[in-house]
Amino acid sequence: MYESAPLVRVAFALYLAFTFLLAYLARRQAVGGGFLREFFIGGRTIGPWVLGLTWIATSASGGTFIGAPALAHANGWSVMLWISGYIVVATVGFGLLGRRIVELGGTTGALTFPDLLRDRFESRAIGALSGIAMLVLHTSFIVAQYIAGARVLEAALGVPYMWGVLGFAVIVSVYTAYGGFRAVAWTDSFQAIVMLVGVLLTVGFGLYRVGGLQAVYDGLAAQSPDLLTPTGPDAFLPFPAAISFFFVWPLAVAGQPSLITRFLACRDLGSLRRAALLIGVYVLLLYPAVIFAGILGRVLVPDLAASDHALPATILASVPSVLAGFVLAAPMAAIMSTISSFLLVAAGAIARDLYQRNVRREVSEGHARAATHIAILAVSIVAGAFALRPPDYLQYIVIFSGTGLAATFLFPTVLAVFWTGMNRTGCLAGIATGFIAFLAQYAAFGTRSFLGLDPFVWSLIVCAMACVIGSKLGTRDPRSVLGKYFAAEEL
Amino acid sequence: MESASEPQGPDSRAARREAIQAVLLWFGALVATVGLSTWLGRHPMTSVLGVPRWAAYGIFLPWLAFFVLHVRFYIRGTERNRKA
Repeated sequence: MYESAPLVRVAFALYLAFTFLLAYLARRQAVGGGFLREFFIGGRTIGPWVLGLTWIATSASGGTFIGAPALAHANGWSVMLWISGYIVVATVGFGLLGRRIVELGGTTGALTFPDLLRDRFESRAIGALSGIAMLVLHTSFIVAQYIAGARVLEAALGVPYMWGVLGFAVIVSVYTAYGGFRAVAWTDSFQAIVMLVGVLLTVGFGLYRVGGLQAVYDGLAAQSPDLLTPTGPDAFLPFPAAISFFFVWPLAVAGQPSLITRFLACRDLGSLRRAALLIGVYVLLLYPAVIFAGILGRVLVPDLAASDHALPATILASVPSVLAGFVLAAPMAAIMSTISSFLLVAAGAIARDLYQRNVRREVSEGHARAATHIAILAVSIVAGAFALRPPDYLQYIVIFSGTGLAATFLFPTVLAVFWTGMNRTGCLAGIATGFIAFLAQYAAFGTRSFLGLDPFVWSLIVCAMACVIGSKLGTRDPRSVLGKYFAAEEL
Repeated sequence: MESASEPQGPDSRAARREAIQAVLLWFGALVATVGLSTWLGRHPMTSVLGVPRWAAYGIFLPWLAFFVLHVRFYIRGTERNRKA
C-alpha cells in the first residue's frame, strides 16, 4: 500500500457525486422520439464537444491509465514506440468510417452497430452473429476495466480488491441504466477533462520532484540502460511487434463498435469534423504524457506491490496530497467512461440485437426499458464474477478484447458501407473468419503469431480475404437494398 | 434503368476518398515512426533535452508533423462541406 491522505477520499467522493449529478441532468435533457432512440444514441443530437470527448473517453480505458503506465514502468521508453500508433488514431478513427456512418445513421435510422450490418444485408443471422461476438468481447473488456478500477481503489484508498470490483459494478451500472447514451456521453465528457488534467498534473509535479527530464533519463540509465532503448529490457518490443502495434492502435480504434456507435449519435458532418480536430489535440497531449507518467514512476517508485499500481503510486508520490484525490480521479474517469460505454453496447447487443430484433419484434416502451436494464445488470454481474481472479498484466486483456472486436468487425463494416459488391455471404464469412482466426491464433501462439506479428494483423488479412471471396461466391444484393446505401451512379 | 420509386442513399464517393487519405496517412506515419525509431535506436544512446534521441526524432517529431497533417485534413474537409 502507498501513503494516501483522507483528502483523497473526499476528492473521490466529490468526483463520484458530480458524475451522478451529470447523469441526472443528462436524463432531464432527453429529446423524446422513443426510448430506444434516446437510450442508445441520445436522440442523434450529439454535438462536436460531447462527441469528441465521449469518443476519446471511451477509447482511453483502464488499459491506457493503468495497463500502459505499468508497462512503461517495467519497460521504459520502449513503450513510447509501442503506443506510437496513436499518432494517427484520431485521423484514422474519424477519417475511415466517421463521415460515412454519420450519413448512413441519418438516412437508415440505425440505432446500434449490428443494426447497420443487419439492415445493409437484410440478414437476421448477421445481426445475431455480430451481437454475440460483441457481447463476448465487450464483456471481456469490461472485466479488464473492473480489474483496473479495483486496482486503483486498492492502491489509493486501501479498499480490498473484491469490494473495489463490486463498487465499480454497482456505480457504473446504476448511472448507465439510469441515463442511457446521453448520460454516458455527458459523464464521459467530464471524465475526459479529468483524465487530461490529471495526467498533465502528474507529469508536471513528477518532473519537479525528480528534477527535470535529464534527471529522469539519468535515473533510468542508472537502473538499466535497456530502459532507454526502443526495444526495451528482454526485447520487450522487437521490430515485428513495433509494426504490429502500429496496426493495433489506430485500426482497433477504427473498428471498435462502441466508437462507431458514437458516429450514429452525431448530429451532422460539421460536428464530426470539429470533434476530430479536438481529438487530434487531445491525443497529442494525453498519450505521450500517460506513458511518460509510467516512466517517471520507475524513477520515483521503482518497487511496486503490483505492476498495475504504477500510475496510482506515481500520483501519490509526486502530487501534493491536497490535489492527489482529484488527480487519482483521472484513471477512475478513464475506467468508468469505458465501462459505461461498453455496458451500453453490450446491453444493446442483448436487448436490441438478440432479443427485440430476433425474439420479440413488437415491444412496448416499458418492456424495452426493462429488457435493457436487465441486460445491463446481467453483463455487470458476469463481468464482475470474471474480474475476481485478475491476471498480472491487465493490458493484455485490453489488447485481446479491443483487437478482437476490430479483427472481427473492421473489414466487414468498411466493405459494407463502401463496396456495392459486398453481400451477406461475404459479411458472414468475414465476421466468422475474423473472430475464429483471432481466437485460434491467441490459443495457439499467444500474443506473437507468424513472423512475430500480433494475431490481430493476420486476422485482419484473413477477414478481408473472407469478405471478398464470400461476396464473389454469394449473390449480389438487389438494387432496391443497395439504393438505400449508395447513390444511383455508384450502382 | 433506375426506377423513380427506388430509394436513393447518400453518395459514398467523398467519404471513400477521405477514408483512403486517412489510410495513406496511417501508412506514412507507420513508415516514418517505426522506421526512424528503429534506425536511430541502433546507434549509441544519447539524449535530446532528456529524451532518448530515437524517441525525440523518431516519435515526437513525426507526431507533430502528422498532427499538422491531421488538422489540414479536417479543415480542408470542412471547407469542402461548406462549398457543397
